[in-house]
Amino acid sequence: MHGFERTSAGYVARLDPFERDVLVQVVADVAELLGDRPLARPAGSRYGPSARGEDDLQTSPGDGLRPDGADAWTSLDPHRDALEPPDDTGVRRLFPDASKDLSIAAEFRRLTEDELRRTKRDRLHSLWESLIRLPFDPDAAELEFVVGPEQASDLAATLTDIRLILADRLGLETDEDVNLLYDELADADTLAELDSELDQKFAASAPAERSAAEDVADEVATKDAAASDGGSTEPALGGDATPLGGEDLDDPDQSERALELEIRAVRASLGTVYIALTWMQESLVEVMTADLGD
Amino acid sequence: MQGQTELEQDVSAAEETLPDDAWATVVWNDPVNLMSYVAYVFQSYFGYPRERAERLMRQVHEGGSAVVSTGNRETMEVDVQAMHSYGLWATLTQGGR
Repeated sequence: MHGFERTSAGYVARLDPFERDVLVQVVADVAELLGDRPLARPAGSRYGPSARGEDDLQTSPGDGLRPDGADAWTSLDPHRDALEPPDDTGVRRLFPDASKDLSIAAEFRRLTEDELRRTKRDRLHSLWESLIRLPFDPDAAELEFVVGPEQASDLAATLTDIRLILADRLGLETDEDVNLLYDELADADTLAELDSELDQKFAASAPAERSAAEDVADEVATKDAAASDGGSTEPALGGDATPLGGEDLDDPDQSERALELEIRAVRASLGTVYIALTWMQESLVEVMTADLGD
Repeated sequence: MQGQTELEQDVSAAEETLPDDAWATVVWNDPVNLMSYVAYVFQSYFGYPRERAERLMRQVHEGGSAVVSTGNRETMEVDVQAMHSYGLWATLTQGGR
């Protein structure tokens, strides 16, 4: 990945196809979390614009149901009942209480949340559209992501929304938590080591290859499913991952170790996406700020 | 990020200079938003000069929060909604409450 640079064509970043696929996946998951209809996900190595027909590229943003049942149309009714704050802690961070005074906060939410939700969903949707349409050249190592200066502010805002959701899933509540994540992933070998240990352990028993993108998708989606069922709001990283079970894992020590490795691997991929998006946003804000002047 | 009590003290201190009935938009520190992005938002949305936008950003980052705009309630609601749209954590207050 190369961060955004200012060119005569606009702000330009470069991604390799794998990075783009992971990003498409995460954008689709966050859009769905906010009530968008399901968006197409990349399907492993088969993915690419040439592998899908135009029919798959529906472009109208869905006015999907809110996880708690409120839908976009109800916002047209000025007398509708108050909206409850979202159950999902990540989504709630995108639509925070606007006041310590609960009645002011409730009134504000009633008046603004649906519109904000549509804004955020539409921004995610157009990022998703841009990403899936990046010209694919099988010979090129990277894809060019060109953003017009007039769209850059929306992109920076939507990168923030995505990072806020990922930070919630990663349990990043303080500056210190963020520093620890960087330390954890600073060693470039961390992922490789985890991968190779997992591969060795499960070479015989793993049922299917899983991509990092799939792991990330599960991680983003898991908590929302729990939350919209009125279920646990425990951080999903705590215990939702299941070991890549096989018969040789009946030994409790072995299976505990397997679970720990799996959790660390999911956290590492999620953390890697978070850090990559942070870096991408930093480069974008730098060129945007330069163009604002003093 | 600081504890809630410290945050409340910070914001009370910041609002001491406001009249009792004035409304304000307060932006709070969070561990996710980039310092450069927060300054960009203050500069581009409020039209503040770079220097003022960066001073407010540092106040948020180091002090936990900053009053970024004041006015009547309706205007502050618009500002808070805009901050939420940018992904910043903002609240509406009146006379320090």
